Amino acid sequence: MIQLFHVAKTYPGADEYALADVNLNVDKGEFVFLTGPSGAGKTTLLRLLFAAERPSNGQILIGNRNIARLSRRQIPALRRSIGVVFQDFKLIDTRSVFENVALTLDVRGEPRRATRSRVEAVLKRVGLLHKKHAAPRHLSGGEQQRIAIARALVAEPSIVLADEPTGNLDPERSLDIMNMLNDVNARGTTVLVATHDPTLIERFRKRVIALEAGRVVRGGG
Amino acid sequence: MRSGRFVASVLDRALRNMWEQRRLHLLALSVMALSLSVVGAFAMVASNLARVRAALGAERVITAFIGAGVDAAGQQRLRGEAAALPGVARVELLAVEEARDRFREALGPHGALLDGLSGDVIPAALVVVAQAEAAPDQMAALAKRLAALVGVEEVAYAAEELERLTTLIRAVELIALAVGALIALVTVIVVSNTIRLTVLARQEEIAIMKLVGATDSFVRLPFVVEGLLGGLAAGAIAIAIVWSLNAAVLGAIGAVAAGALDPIFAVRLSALHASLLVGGGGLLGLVGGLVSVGRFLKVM
Repeated sequence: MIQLFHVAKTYPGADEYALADVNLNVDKGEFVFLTGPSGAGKTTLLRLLFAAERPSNGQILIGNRNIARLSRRQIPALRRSIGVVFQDFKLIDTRSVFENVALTLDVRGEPRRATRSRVEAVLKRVGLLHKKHAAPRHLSGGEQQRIAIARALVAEPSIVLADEPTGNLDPERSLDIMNMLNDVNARGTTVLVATHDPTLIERFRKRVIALEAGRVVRGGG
Repeated sequence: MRSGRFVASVLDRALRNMWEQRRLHLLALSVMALSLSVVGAFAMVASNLARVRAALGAERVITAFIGAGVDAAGQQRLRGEAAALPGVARVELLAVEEARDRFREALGPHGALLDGLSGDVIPAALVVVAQAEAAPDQMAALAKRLAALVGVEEVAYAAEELERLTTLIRAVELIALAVGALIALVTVIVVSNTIRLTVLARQEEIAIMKLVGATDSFVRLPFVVEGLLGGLAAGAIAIAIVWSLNAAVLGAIGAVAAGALDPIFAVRLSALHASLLVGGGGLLGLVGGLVSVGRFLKVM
């Protein structure tokens, strides 16, 4: 499903590689933890997967698409096949909870009625249906994270990428979020979670890919 | 992409953006409407002058004013000489009293102004009507022959005014063109900067849209539609401004000049000019919208 071959990434002006010679393989329907200390390259790797960054070297295959060679015009289609949960949530403050989640379907031109029923269904699933008219800034960090997850899941993507989805949450909320992602994975979605929280990794006992200083040190497969 | 839903979404976001940034849009709309109304006013004056020119072009009358020293018999002799000139259809002799009465009639309610004037202020005249097929150069030749008659002091005919008017129309058209070009530039700058500010206010939103799979056109179109709608509205407002100005000018002229200048302001704004104003406003808004969003899309 996801394959990286000798992928390297350097940022302009930086002396060191953000990623260096990364090779890894994630199968369809797998749940994988991407772990490592801060600055190990977890976020960079995820950003390469949804084409927010271009690799400096190497090839990235998702399904049968070579991400490294995608043209600008092909990027939206790739992003529509991937649900991304951002570390900083990336919610639009001037839009309601409902509108934030519906955005994923709006950009696809989904009919209004279908959008409403799908958004309400996913908000119910993350326990936020009663707050669909609220502005995200009036909600707690845990609730904002659940909106971000709802937005990533509403279009039922084949891959979900989550960057530190439990970053600023208390243990109980973290468990909630991870159960949600586990549930999505149980339905056949490939899930990649970047985290540096060892308790989550121990608790869920999934495959772990460890990164250090931009290199895969364990579990590249 | 379901096209109906796409169009609805674009319009929805454009109107929403406009409402959320209404102060900014109102300011831009005012500047655009005022700029376009200046162009509209020039166009209106030019089209009215052109209308007057056309009317004067069809005029076949030459007035030959007779010197004060020519007696009634001399005036009759001049009438005969004029009638014998080639290209003349008929000649009417206006004695001093008749000329005065006609002028009084033309002045309408202000005719009393003539009461204090002495008798010889308005001279006797020959009203010479040329044959129907007389071309402008034939009219000029006839005027020359009439002026050469002994006892005729001065001749006046439309072609003379026509020439002056043509020069004036050309000047008005040139000014309108220069002002129009300048205003087009100003309008594009105003629209593109207004939309650029609204884009800046939505930069984060745009980035998020792109991250969830929005295409460039999905992001760009609402801003282009904002420009287009703003431009169309400014064009429509400009028409209203020009019409109101025209009505105000006509009212003011009516009070002092008894309609003497009416022809210049009689046509408010031709349908063609009105459509050009709205269409031009829309086009300028569209260009402004397109110019402003482009570089923000290259971010991701």
